[in-house]
Amino acid sequence: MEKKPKILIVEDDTDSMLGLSVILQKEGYLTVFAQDGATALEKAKTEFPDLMILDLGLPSGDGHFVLFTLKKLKRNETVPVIVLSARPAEFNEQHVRNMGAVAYFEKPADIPRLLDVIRTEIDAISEMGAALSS
Amino acid sequence: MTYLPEISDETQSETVNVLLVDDLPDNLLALEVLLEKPSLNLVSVTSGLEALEALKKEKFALVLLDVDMPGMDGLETARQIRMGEANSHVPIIFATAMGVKRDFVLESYSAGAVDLLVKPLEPSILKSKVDVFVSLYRHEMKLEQAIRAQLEMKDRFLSQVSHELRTPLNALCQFLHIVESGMAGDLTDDQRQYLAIASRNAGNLKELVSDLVDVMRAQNNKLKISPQCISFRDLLEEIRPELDEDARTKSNQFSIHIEEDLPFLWADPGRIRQVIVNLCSNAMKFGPQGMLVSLMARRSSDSPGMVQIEIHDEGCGIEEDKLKTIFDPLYQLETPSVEDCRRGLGLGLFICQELVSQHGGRIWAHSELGKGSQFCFTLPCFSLEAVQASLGGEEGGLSSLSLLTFRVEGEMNGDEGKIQSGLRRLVERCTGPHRGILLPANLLKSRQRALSCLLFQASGPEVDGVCDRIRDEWKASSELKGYRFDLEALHGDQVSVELAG
Repeated sequence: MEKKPKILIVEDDTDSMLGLSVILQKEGYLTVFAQDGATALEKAKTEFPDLMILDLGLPSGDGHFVLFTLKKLKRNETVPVIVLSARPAEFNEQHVRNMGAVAYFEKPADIPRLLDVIRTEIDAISEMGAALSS
Repeated sequence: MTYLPEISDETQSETVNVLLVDDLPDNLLALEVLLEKPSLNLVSVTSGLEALEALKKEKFALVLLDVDMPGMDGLETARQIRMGEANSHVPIIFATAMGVKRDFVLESYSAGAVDLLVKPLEPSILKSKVDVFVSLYRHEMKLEQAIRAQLEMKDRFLSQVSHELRTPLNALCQFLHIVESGMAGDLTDDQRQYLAIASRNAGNLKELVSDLVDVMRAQNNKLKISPQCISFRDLLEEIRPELDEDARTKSNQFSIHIEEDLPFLWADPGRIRQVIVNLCSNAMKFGPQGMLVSLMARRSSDSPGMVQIEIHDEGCGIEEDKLKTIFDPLYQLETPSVEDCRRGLGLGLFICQELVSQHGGRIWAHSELGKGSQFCFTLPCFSLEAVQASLGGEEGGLSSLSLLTFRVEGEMNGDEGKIQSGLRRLVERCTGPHRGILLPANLLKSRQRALSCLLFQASGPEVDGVCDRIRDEWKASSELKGYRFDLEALHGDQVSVELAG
């Protein structure tokens, strides 16, 4: 059986984190969590996630900081990051996209659309991986 | 001055500008000595024209204006001040050495004076009058400041509230999705029905929060749109299930008529979807069960280069005198009966109006009581002019626009959608987000399977760099494997030729 893709959920609201995790597991993904910026960066280094879902308002290092730092880490710079935040898109989307985020969702996110974007990104990675190994 | 509390510490408040106008420098000097105070900034000028110039630059609490000046006299200066843009309401005190005749007094006041003093000026009278106006001005400024602070606080509060509402709403929607989609086990019919009601209400709450945010954005001029080249037919195809569902729950009929060969639009698909859903759901709401709601789209006969979209209902209608105010924020339509019209309009139409006008379109309504209403709005067709207009004052104009045309060859096998999305990602990667505009797939089909991309704000060498990057990415992309492609770049003015053809 193929290895399940791993998604790192960075979210300080426990209920939202749990809800998203249940949904993603049912979709066939492995999930790992972080509830603050420092833990998020730690997990990114130790867990090697295939994709990251990132909240912006976080304790100890907000989402912008996490994204900025992540993109400087050699091993993690290619991990696709989807931002999911309660902050209005017009003040944040351009900025996080410039830093390399692949998508921006305002909370509450449309779940089918979020799943679509996750699937597309994961597919793109696995196809790239297949192309490299063949 | 019993009606206004004294400003306690004048030296601590900001200085207030007072303009002194007299053609004789000696008179000005006398006034300066007389009125000198740390809290006042006395600006002296020697002619009407200089006075007008000074008023353009700064805000003044008061103008002390000599009437008898060569050239433009005091009366004319006052008239010009009242007609001007800056400081047009500034209080003006006339000073004159002429005998004060009744006609002259009347003329002075009609020219805009608030008071008239006769030279030689009595220092105590002058000082107390200046004090009154300066004090009034300070109070006005304080009030303005307080209002501004209140408005800012309201905005901060609203944005805080909407932010705080989003987080629990997010968790709520996620768990509703989990239970509703059967992830947590099978549901009975009753459970499914009740959950659907809960979901619908969570959805309403979601819309309410985003409406709140939109209204704030609109009031601060921050409601921005990201237009793309879109097919209205495709857009409607996407929203159709939602509209049909809305019609079904209210037992209404819903029909769509789109003109053949409707041009592509230059519009923000998410925002237009919002406008259409809003107008349609209003139409469904305010009418008897079983009525027909229809949506029409055609080229506008009045405004060339625009498409007109109309939504007709057979509902209760809106009274003529109310049609003008329905687009105001917080407008609620009075409902003649609970059965016919259950809920008001609230913020929806105001937001629709703001969104349509951001697109450069217009929105309006016709209605006949008891017969029904028509809501109409216009949107720009896709054209180079429309793209330019939405780029606004950005530099470079036409010559900084470039068009990349992709021609893809190979057996498509219904893979057009996949190619299009692969291409979209590729273009985004090579040009940065929001820089490249991909044209919709069906436009492309008519061009011998060519897929096109319009790239704006890029000039010669930059475009060549982008083309090279796209070629490299194309070779590396697995989705696009097996298709040969051709990339052609057009610069500046050539673009309009291509689009017109």
